Formats: sequence, structure tokens, C-alpha cells
Amino acid sequence: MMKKLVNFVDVIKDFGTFPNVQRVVDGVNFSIYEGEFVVILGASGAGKSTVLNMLGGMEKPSYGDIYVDDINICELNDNKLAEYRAEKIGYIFQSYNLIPSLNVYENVNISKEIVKGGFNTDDVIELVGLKNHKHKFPSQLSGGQQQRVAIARVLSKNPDIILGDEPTGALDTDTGIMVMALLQQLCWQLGKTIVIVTHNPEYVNYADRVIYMKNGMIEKHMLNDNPMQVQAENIISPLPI
Amino acid sequence: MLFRKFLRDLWHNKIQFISIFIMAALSTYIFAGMGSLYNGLDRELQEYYKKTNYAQYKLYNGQGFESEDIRSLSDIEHIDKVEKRYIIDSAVATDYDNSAIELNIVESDYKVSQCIVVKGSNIDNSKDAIWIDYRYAKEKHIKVGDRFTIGIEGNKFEKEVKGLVINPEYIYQVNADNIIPNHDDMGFAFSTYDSFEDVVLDKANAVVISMDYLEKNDKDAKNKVSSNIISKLNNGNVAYSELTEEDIEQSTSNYDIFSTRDDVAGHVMFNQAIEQYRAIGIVFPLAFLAVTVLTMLTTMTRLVDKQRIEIGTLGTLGLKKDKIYRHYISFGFFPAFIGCLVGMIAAPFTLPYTFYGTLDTLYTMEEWKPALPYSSCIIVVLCIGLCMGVTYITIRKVLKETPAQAIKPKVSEEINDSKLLQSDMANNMNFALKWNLIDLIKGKVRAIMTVVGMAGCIGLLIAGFGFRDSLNQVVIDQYDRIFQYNTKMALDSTIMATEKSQEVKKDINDTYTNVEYMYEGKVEIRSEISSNQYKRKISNLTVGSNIKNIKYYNEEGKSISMPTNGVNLSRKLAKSLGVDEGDTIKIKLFGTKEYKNVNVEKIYVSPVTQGMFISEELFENIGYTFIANYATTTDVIVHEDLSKNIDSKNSENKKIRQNVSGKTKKYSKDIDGIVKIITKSKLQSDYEVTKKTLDSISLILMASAILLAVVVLYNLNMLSLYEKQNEFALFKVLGFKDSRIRNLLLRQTLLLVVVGVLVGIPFGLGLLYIILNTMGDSVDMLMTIKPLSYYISLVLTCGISIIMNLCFVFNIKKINMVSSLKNVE
Repeated sequence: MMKKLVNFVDVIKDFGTFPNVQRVVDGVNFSIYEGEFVVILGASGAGKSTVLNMLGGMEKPSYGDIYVDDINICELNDNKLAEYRAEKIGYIFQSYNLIPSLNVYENVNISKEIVKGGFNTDDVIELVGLKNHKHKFPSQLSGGQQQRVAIARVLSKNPDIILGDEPTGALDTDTGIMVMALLQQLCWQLGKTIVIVTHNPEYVNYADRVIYMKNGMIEKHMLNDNPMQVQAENIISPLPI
Repeated sequence: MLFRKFLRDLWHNKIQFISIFIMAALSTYIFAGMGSLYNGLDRELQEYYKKTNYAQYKLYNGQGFESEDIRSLSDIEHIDKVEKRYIIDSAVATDYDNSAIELNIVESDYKVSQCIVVKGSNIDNSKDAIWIDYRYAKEKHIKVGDRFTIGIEGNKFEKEVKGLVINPEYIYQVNADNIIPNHDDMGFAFSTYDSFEDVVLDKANAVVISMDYLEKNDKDAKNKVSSNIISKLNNGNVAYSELTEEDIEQSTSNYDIFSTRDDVAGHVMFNQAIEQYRAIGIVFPLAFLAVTVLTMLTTMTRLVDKQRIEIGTLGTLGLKKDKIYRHYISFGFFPAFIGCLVGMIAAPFTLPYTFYGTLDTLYTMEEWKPALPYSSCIIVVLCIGLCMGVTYITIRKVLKETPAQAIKPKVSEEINDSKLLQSDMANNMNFALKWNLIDLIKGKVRAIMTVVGMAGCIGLLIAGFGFRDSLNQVVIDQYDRIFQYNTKMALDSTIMATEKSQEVKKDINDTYTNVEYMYEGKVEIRSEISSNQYKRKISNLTVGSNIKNIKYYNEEGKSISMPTNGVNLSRKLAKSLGVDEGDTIKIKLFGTKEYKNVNVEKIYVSPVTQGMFISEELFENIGYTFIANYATTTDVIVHEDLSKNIDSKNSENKKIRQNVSGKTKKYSKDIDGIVKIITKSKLQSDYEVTKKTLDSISLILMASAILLAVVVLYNLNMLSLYEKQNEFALFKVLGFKDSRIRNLLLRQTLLLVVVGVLVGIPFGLGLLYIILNTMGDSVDMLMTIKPLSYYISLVLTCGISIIMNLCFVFNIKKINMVSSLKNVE
């Protein structure tokens, strides 16, 4: 039986101050199990990124609780949250957010300054197919390559949960598929829990669990017994790790 | 990885960080350099005094001190040694143009105010020996072993030069007409009672007193000793505290002059110079420190803004806040630290030495050695601390946000609620004016800093040019308006005290034109500040009748008449005594015992010579005898032997001589009564030498002004450009030309320059006033700033702003419209 990894309990998130308060997440309840590939779907302004940020320990809810591995992360202070983000979470951004003054190797290796252990830097760089680009800087890479560096950076920490906020949003279709395939591989082969936020309905087919959000609330919550495998050309070879 | 990021970020922003390094280095360099200078001067002075056991007190009595006086003074608590001396201040070097020599006759085992022997042997009981002032000997090429003839009251005494010496009593040796020592013209000598026993026997007209070392710095102990000395010499054992001021003044005291170190011009001026350097050493570094911190603030604001998303990313990766703080605060630490280190190391070995040349022309010290004070650490700690502090404040703004907020681009503040912007006036403004108004409201701090920078620039320029104008004005005031004579003759006072003086005067009057006679001497002045509170000063006295060769002017520049029923005081002297026109003061001529009451009739301004003028009539009415010791003439007198005409040696002097009006006559040697010739052109050329050395102050002010303006404007413009990059990119997309965008910035800069100029002019005038007032007690320059100086300062300030603005045309050209307008969401 799969372990319940994440549990959102009556989570509400407001932005702004009285009288200009905007409720972005309005009483959300859901759970995610270990090893699931989860897609959170919704139109712009649905509150999906906010949910992801709260799960990633980057925002605190205004009300409610969020349990990750039986720990209520809403009660953690800043230092403890930093430790949570370091050890448990890997975050992939739409705009990659690499450090421009560090090369590929250094961007990935920076994780070693944050956590002990994790995977070997060279191995994860090889994993994402960028072995020959180790010494290049982000400005010398394409969008897809930069996103692969970001994934390698996340992977090198060996986190329990990998979060992606529109990870393919800035990429062309083929590259996007390739990135999705990589993420699915991390889930299926390494047992990572992946939570993706997207407004692309096609990704629903690849997920074990789909959460539909609208106006800050969960509109629909579906389980997919037979998620499809992402078909990508030039897919990265099976994970050597 | 973070360290590599740090190094690469430093490199990418190298110009800014180099500016910070330079400013930090400059502020530390000046602070430590000036600190090494004034601390070194103070230390060397104290060492000199300690080594020579420099007297704390010196008493004179024309009628001589008795042995009993000396014994009784020795009993006073805290006094270390009391020694007799015989001082002849009117001796002349007969083989060297009768240049004035002050001869000190001491016991061979003397211990107070000892000489330091530079060449030759120590003072001993040799019968035929003399020790000459080292600086004078150098000018006259006198060596150890030479024979030296000294003239005393018409008699000549030839002695062997056994040593060349320096002495703390002669740190600064000038006559009444000069502010620069002329070692070619005057000096001092030491000899012993054994060498001059036929002349002085065992007499003593002076007593020198030293205190126990520790007590010298104890103000209360000094006051107690002063009181006891005066008491002993007035009424024997009666305590000083029981005597009223009236008693002291009216009693016939057993001394003519009671002087302490604070009455010695050299001691006072040297200490004033130390204080002046201490003040410079604080003000200038603080200005550079402010610029350093400003540059750090603008640099880090830009860097942190640029790396906002990076900072957020590092947070999402799990990097703790303290590690992020440490990473960014290193940007504040390292450039400042390295700059301070370089400044601190270079300063003591360089900056003080640039002053020693000037100091050596004024003062005679054993050694000029810098000494870095411990307080130099203050500037280092302050600089590094402030740089780290502003960095911390800058990064804190971003780290206060959650990582989710930090990874999003910064939202600009809404300022539509500004009443000014909603007014009708704003609505009717053209685009350029309104845009600049909005920008100024948004960037208030930046605007204020620009105004401060420009105010500082024009203020320093005005102070620098004004200082130069004031120095030049002295030439006009002192040497054209005040000194109407062209030559001054020193007369033999021994001859002039006899009937032969009439013959001398007739010869002089027949030979030269417009001759006037004066007495110049020293006087002790006391003024009452409040009941039983007095101020005492020793100053120059000039006595004459119907003097036209010297004209006096008041503060407004109006000519004032010679005093009839009182005295005229120079402004600086009046200020130090706390008196004004109409007040009463008490004066005691050196060599007399009683104080006389006189009124202050007029106050005059004299840039170079301070003192008191009294008419011959009043001088005699109050009981003194007028014996002329100087004569002035409108003729220019040159020496028969042109090689001895010091005026011709110097091309500057030649220029001055050519401008002099009046007849040129040869110096006649037939008139016995003339001891020495002093031409006005020589005095003026000495002043020109001083002026040249002081010019360095105006150059420092001007250079600082330009550096301040360039650094401030560069940094603020860079910040402004960075903040408005997206806006300018948008303007370019909309079709604005680069020149139009540049002109938008230029208008704002010029507006801020105008405000800065209005603030800076009073600042500059205030700074100039402070500089002129710290020039020492003997100098009183009128603050003069020519209209041209204002104009040049304004043009330079505006010019620098325009040039810095033009530099940014290139940066505006470089703005990439696509990358600037690319947004994350």
C-alpha cells in the first residue's frame, strides 16, 4: 500500500490586506501518495501555482494545514522551511532560473552546498544528456537544455517530491514532451513523487492523479489507473542511477 | 560555487567595485596619512621638549635676578630646575651683514632648554667658544672650527664655533614683519658665562624654569606653579590666591616679563598646525567615506535587484537566509577591506612627507617622522562596517519576501496618489517635465544625493578658488595698501639712545626720501573679560607720529587715522583679547615693570602682521621713552655689493622689484646708525613662497570637488539608468530617439545641479571661512572671492554634469529592446 505523502487540509490563502483582500485558494483539501505523478490543471488565476508554492514551502497558507510526510509544514519556522526545501523538495520553474554566472556543472553542483548526499553531479548531468555542455553558461544553451540543467539541479539533491510550475511553458512542443518524458521516468523508475502545474490538458493522460482547479477551489479530482507513457523522440536513455 | 559566483559578480561589476575600492582607499589614506602626520608632529614635538628639557617658564628682568630669587623659585612644588641666563637679543653677526643674533649665555652644565648638537661638540666650559644656530650656519656656510665675530653694543667678540645646534626655544624664529623665518637674516647662538665673563660677569637677566615631567601635562599643577612663581616674585611668601588682580598689576614686581610656553609663537603655531591637520584629517576622509557608502549603496541596490530571482531561486533550493546574507555581505566587505588595507599601508610612508617640505621652511625640528595613530583603525572599522551595513539593508529587502515572491519580477510602486501629480499644474505639464517630476518623486533619495554631491562639488570649488583669491589679496592689502614704504632700516638702538641719534637722523633724511621713524618692540597686554577674569597676550608694538608710510584700514576697507588718545589694535589681536573699540586694556612694555591703562581707539585689519599701534605722544605721556629703532623710506635701497643683494637672486623678486615705485638708491655704508636694510620686495617675495606652499590646499579642495562630482554622478546615473532600463527600452520601441531620451535625463540633472548650486554656495563660503580662521594667530586674511571664481566654479560644476550625462548616451544606445522588455509572466 502506497504511503500518503502529502495532505492538504482546508487550506486557504489570501493575498493583500483589509479591505483589499483577495482569496486565491479557498478551502482546498487533497492528498498525494508517494510515487504518484500528479498534474494540477486549471486556467490562469485558478490558484494552482499558489498551491504548488505552499507545498514547496515557499508560501504559508493563511488558514489550514499542509502535512508532508506527517509533518505540518505550516508550523515550521524559516530555517526549518529552508531545511524542508533543501531535503524534501525539488522545484522546476517555467523560466528555468539558472544562475547566469555559473556554468552547467556549477549550477547543478550548487546543490552540494545545500544538502549532503544526493546524486553525483557528473552522473545527473550525463543523465539529462548534457555531458558535452558541462562548461557552458546558461546564455550559451537553448531553452530545452536550460530546463534539463534545472532538472539535473533538482535531481542532484535526490528530493522526495519534485514540483514543476509550468516546466514546459517556455519550450516548444517536442522539447516539452522530452522534458515530460524525463519527469515521468524519474517517477516511474526512481519512485519520485512529481507534481506538475500546467494549463495544458494533454498532460492529464500521463498523470496518476489529476486535480482540476477553478477560482481557487478544487473542481474535480481524478485518479488515472492507466497513465500513458510519454512518447518522446530523443528521449534520454534509461536512467543509469 | 557561491564563492565562484561572488568572484564572477565582482568582475561583471568591476567598475563599480573599483570605485568603491578607490574611495575606501582614499578615505583611509587621508585619515591614516593625516593621522600619521599630526600624531608624528605631536610625538616629535613632545620628544624634542623632553630631550631638551624645554622650559615651561621664562622670566626676564632688565635689572637682573638675584641668587636669592633663583633659590626661592627652586623651592616651589612641581618645579624641577631653575637656571639663570643672560640673553642679549640685540647682538649682530658683524661678518654677515650684521644679521640679528639672539645670544644666550648659560652655565656650562645647564640643564633647561638644552641645545641639540647637530655638528660639533656639546656646550662645555671652553673659554673661547660659541655654538651657532644650525639653520643660520647653513645659510652662511659657517662650519665647526670657524671663527665667528659677534657684535654687542658696539663691541666685537671673536669666538671659535664649537658646534652647530638647534633649540626648542627657536622652533619658529621671525621678526615683526614676516611670517616666514629667514635663516639668512637672523639666528641665535649659545655660549657660556666662562666665554663671556668679561661682558656679563655673573649676571642673569633671565630665568628659565622646567617642571617635573608628569606635572607638565597637569593643568592644575601648572596653574599652581604659575601662581606661586608670581607670588614669590611679588610679595615673597604671600599666597597668590590672596592677591587681587589690582595688587598684581600695581605692585612693582620683580620681573619685567613672565612668559610661558603658550606665549611662545613657535610653540603655539606648531600646535595650531597640528590641530589644523587633525581637522583636515577628519573632514576630508568623512566626505570620501560618504561617497564610498553611497557608491556601495547604489551598486548593491542594482546588483540585488538584478539578482532578485537568483536570490529567490537559492531560497527555493533550500539555501538558508544566513548563507545568502553572508554571500551578499561579502560584496560589502571585500572591496572596502582591500581598499582600506591599501590606504592604511601606503599612507604613513607617503602623505606626511608631502607636508614636511613646507613645515621645514617654517619650523626647525630635530626630526620629521610620521607616526600612525591607533585611532586610524576607526576609519577602517567605519568604512567596512557601513559598507556591510548598507549591503545588509539592501539584501534584507529581498529576503524579507517569501521565496515565491522573490522569484517573481519586482512590481513597481504605484504613486498615483501623489497630490502634486493629480493637480491641474501637473496635468498641464509637457511630457518631459511631467516624466521628470514623476521620476524625482519615485527616486527621492537619488535626487537628494545628486543635490548633495553637486553642493559638495561647487562648495569645494568656491572654497578652493576663494582661498587662492584670499591669498592673492594679501599681496594687494599688505604690500600695496598697508605698506606704503619700500624699504625699512633697522637702527642701532644703542646709538639712537644717545645724542648721536640726531646726526644719524640728519644723514638718513639727507640721503633718502619720505623718511619716518618708529619704535618697534614687544608688549604684554591684559584685558578684563569679566570680574577677576583676565586674558593675557604678548604682542608686537609700533610707536610713531604722523606715520604715512604705513596706512591702516578697517574691516570695511576704509582708511583709519593714526590713534591720538588710545591705541589701534589689529583685528586678530583684539579678538584674542576679547576687546572692541572703546574698551580699556592694560599694557606693559618689555623691560618695564608697570602696567598702563589705554583705550582701544580703532581696530584695523592686517593680513600678515598682528599687533598694536600707539602714537609717540601718548607713548611718552604714559611714561615711556621713545627711542626710534626703525626708519622707513619710500626709496628702494639696494646693496652696493650686488652679490649681497638677495633681491636679485630670485627671479620672483626681480619681477616684484620691477613693479615697485620710488627711487632706487645705493645703500650707503657711511651712516653708522643703520644696522640692516629690509626691502618690501623681499618681504613680499617671502610671502610668495608661503603662498606657493599654501596653494596646495586650494588644489586639494579643487581636486576633491571634481572627484566627488564625477564619482557621485557616475554612480547615481548608472543607478538611474538601471532602474529605467525597461522604460527607456519602451521609449525606443515607441520611436524615441536616443538623443531625446538623453535630453530627458539632462534636464533632470541640470535641475538638480541648480538646486545643488544654491545649497553649495553658502557651504563653500562657510568652509572658506573655517579654513581662513584656522591659519594661526599671526595671520588674518580677509575672505575674498572674485566674481570670476564664482563663474569658474559654476561652469566647472555644470560642465562635469553635462559631460557625465553625455557619457550615458553610449549606455542608452546599448539598451537591448528585446531582452529588456522580456517578462517572466
